[in-house]
Amino acid sequence: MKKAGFFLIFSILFSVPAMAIEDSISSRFKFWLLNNEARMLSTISFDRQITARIEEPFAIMPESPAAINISVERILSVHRKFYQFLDEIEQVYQLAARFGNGRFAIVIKQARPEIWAQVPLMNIQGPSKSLTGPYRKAFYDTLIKTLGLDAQRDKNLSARLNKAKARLSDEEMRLFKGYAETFSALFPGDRSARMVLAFVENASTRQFAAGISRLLEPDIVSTSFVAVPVQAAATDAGLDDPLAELEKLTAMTEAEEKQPGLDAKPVEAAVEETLADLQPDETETSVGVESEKTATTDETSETAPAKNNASDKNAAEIEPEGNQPDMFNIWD
Amino acid sequence: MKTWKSNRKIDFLLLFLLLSISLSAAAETVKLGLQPGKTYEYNLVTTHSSSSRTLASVFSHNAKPMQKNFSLSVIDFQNDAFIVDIKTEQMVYRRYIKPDGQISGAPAEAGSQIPFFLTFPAGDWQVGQRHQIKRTINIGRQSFPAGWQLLLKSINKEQETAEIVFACAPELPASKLAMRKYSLKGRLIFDLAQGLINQADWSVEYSFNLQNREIAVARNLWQIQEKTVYSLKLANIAE
Repeated sequence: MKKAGFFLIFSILFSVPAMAIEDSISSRFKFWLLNNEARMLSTISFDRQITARIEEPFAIMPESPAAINISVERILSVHRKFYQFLDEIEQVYQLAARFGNGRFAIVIKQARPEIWAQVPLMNIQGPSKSLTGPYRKAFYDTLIKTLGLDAQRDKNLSARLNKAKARLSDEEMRLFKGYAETFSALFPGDRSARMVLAFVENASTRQFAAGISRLLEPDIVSTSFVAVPVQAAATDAGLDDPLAELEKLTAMTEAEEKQPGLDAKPVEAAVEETLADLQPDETETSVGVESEKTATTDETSETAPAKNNASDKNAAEIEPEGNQPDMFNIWD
Repeated sequence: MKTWKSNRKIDFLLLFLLLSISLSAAAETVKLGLQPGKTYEYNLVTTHSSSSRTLASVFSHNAKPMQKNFSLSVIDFQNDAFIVDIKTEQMVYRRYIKPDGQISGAPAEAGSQIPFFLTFPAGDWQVGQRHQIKRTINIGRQSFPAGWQLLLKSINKEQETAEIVFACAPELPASKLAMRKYSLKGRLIFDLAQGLINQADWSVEYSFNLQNREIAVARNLWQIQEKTVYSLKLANIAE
């Protein structure tokens, strides 16, 4: 019950739309560009109202529509690309901020909401694997969708960012950087445009937010309720600061970058380490793969932990029901 | 002595007569002389080019010349105005045009939306003489002064045509951050015998420069320039 409540609170927190999050890195820069565009368009439009009265000087002539300024249209079409790019940057940044540290994936693995969701069905139908399995998967898929995630798109955020970057030509990218630099020069106290540039530069060249891929690769095979020690995750400095990795990527300040905690143990490594401690997850995943191949769940469930015994000292604690039939195995 | 004085008077008189004759020869009345029942077909070619500079990037575009034909069917001349139908492929405008080019009525057009057309001076117009028409253009609650400057440049006696140059530079709203400039310059060949505009060429230039300024920092953001060249020619007169 405590776990379910924990899950519910986290779901509400993480379901907040990205745009509603105040710490947006692109909105002020985007609004600045939009405001300037609006100023330009309204000025041109107003001037045209005046000039249209004299453009055709003779009363014997019919009215003609004003010629479209194609060069301005081209600027606007490039700006539309920038807005799409900024939206993509913002989404990637927010996803990394919300899920990138892996904490939410751990919570899911602790709470196993897909099992809880099937409890009423189990009472009615009995423990039928073939019946409840698809429901469990559907629950998880819905959860992923509700969180605004897409397994294919968000598995590798760096690749997603590179894909968005590739939509801009070199000249357009130079112009984008020029705008960001102009914004930074005009508003030296506002670091958002610099953060956007640093994020694009750093995040597109290396993998980050590894935790999100763990969330998107569901481990919904085992029926066991994973007894993950919450303290193990909570004690990690990297996980306590969910934006630490992003701060590094956006190169917030040199002083921040040189913080001993961050230098000593990168967040990504910290997440890796913490998740490595939660070895039963991996065990369960391997069980899923094996069972898909052989369709002998019970035997594999026994053998797979055995393979990992050497590296996982907590395996026995996490997988106490190894010999029992997996009633939630959806791969059968 | 007396004879010399009288001769001198005659010389002055002759000189005055010669000057007045020459001056009267270099003056003409420029006014429309459309004939009811006739249809005047015109051909208008428009060429538009634009260029926009944003930071180091330049976007430019030269459009292909666009041709448009329209006709002017003269229905009648009443109350000192020609009643004409201006027909394009899409629309027909009825206008009441005075001989000096001024519009006295346009049933299908809202009064406030009728353009500020140039008009010719009433009476004789001497070569080299300027003619100015001023008006304010109202946009919403704001009004902006505008004025046509016309100059009768020359008169071709053989072809019975007058060359008139015209220009207009309305005052656009002033702003330190959004600087803009508009100018229109053109040349008109008027058929004095028939009272018709034979040919007119004019170009319109508009430039706009948007700056961003925050305390001591000023940055040019966008510089937009556009130019439209119009060429109007009388193509045919049909009965």
